[in-house]
Amino acid sequence: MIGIVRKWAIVTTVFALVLNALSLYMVFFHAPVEARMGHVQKIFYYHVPCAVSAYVLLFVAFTASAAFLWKGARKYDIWALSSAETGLVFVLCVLTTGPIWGRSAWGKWWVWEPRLTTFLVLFLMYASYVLMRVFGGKDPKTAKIAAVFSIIAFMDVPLVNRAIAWWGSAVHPREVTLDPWMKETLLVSFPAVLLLAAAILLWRVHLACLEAEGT
Amino acid sequence: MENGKLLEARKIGKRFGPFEALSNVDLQLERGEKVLILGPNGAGKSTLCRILALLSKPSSGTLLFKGERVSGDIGKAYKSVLGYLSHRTMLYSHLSAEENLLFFASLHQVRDSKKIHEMMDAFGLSPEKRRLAGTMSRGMQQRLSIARLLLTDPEILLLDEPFTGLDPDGARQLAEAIYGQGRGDKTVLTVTQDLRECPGSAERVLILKEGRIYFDGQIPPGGNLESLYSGISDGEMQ
Amino acid sequence: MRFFSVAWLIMTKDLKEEVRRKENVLASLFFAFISLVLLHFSVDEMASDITKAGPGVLWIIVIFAGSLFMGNIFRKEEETGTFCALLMAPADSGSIFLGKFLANFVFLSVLESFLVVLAFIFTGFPLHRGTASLASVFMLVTLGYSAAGTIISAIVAREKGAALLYPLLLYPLLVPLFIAAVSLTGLAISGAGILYSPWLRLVILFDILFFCAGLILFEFAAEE
Repeated sequence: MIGIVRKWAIVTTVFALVLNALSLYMVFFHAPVEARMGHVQKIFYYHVPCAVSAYVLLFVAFTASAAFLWKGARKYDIWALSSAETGLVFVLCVLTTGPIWGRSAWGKWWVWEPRLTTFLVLFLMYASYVLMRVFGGKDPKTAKIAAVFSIIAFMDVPLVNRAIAWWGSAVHPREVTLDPWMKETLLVSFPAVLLLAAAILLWRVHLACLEAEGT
Repeated sequence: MENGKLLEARKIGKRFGPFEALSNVDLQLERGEKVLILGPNGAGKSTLCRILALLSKPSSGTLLFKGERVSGDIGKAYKSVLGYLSHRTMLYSHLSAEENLLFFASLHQVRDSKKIHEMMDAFGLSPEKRRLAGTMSRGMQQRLSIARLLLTDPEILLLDEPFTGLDPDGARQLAEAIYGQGRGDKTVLTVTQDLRECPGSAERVLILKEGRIYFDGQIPPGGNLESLYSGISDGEMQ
Repeated sequence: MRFFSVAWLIMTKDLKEEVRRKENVLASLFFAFISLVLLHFSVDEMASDITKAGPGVLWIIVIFAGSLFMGNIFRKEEETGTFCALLMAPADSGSIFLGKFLANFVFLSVLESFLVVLAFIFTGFPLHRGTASLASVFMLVTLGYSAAGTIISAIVAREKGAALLYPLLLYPLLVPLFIAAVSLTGLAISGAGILYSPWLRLVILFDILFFCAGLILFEFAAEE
């Protein structure tokens, strides 16, 4: 598996770099500067794709965990761990880009806004997952129970989302009106970030394979 | 059709991360055999015992019970004839002797309540039947554990270092209970570290070292295991 | 049928054991009492409406006090080796989960009743309004909490650092249930109906999801 992963990792990285370079250009030179928030608004082009990437990665973790419990093959566990870790990284990106935007949009660093709060809970869940695996070490038992937790956690995510949204619905209605040039920029930055996520995931899987082989 | 071999382990392997606890272990048990498993620390004896007791899943290899793979219904059938004892009590310390036995009897669908009282009599537990298991002496706890083990009348006994922590009296009582009269038809596998405690009635010995079987055969006449064991430890393979 | 009789057997055994053991039960109940007292000092009764702050305080205490009991439900079996003995029984592993789930549910119900009575006496928490609604809210939320708590307890039973890991894994999962519980309790004591509330559907969904997940995944959490 390591050969294929490496090949795809390289391909994805190349495309990701190209697309991200294009995206950066477009963010700063193509998209207009937003009237009210100024340059800081541009973080939006990364904030939203990061959130989507996080969800996708955590879904991969969920599927890989289920496959691991079902089939027992080590490779599924490698994918589960790698995607959960990478997902956590992107959750952190959302939690950092969000407040930066929020500061300029709402004047405060943190607001208990539904989507951000959901990501806070996601952070807690998956940080626990990673901690559990770090403490547990190489014990295959840890891999198994981590997989169980990963499945339960992901299953809970839509519930967390709904609950926080209903609770916080009075707080901030979100309306986003997009200028056509902004839309175009987003159309580039979206796949750019997704590809970046894929690249990081593949390299992480590659690393995990190397670790597994080396022992 | 009943296969002659009661229990068969084929190419059993178990890994804990990078560490290979067992590799390529082949084992066959026939009905009524009494087998000892010896080996230095970390040889994988307990791991093998736990795999045979279905408490642990092997990383590779298969387990066969009466010729069929152990899973699903066969797994249930296997579990119902199995008995496992380790150095842990496997008793509920806040339940009395009687309550412990009643619980395990119900769990294993042993409906005859007379049997429970017979067991308690046999092991001298009747006078203390209301006593909480946690307040018993180690010797009495061990007797209760054995009673729990034999309550379900298992055909196959897997014992993982059961003599640990027992005084000579307790050890003798345990040996008597497991290997004594009326137990001839039972298949017994005993994992032990202590050569001195090898009960005389064990016929076959398996020596494990570093996860592999180094010796599998009859105990030499005269029961001189010491020389056999040290011979193996020095690296000679038979 | 055997499935249910094994579960019942395990539930009754656990309840008997815990009543005799006393530590877990007493620690939990005492913790609930002392928390109520301490939290009372942090809520300024003059300034805030008890019906607004009350439900939150109540459910926080239930979660923390409940964990003192539930966190150990499998660990204690692991220590004496009885967990192995249970797994070796010729029964579905799901029935072990069900038995433990029921034991946890019974205990949590006792804890909540105790806490609610104390809250009524000491803080004037208005229980008499909408009692039927309140009772159903408690029951439904407890089903979900018990399911989540039982499966997470099974996960950490054999891990090092279980005491730390249990709350770390469980509490984030409970966020939706907690928010729903607080909202529904608030609705119930203010006299409003809960039947059409979307929160009720959320709780029921949570209960079903976690109970089924627990039943199915327990086997994987328990084996070595």
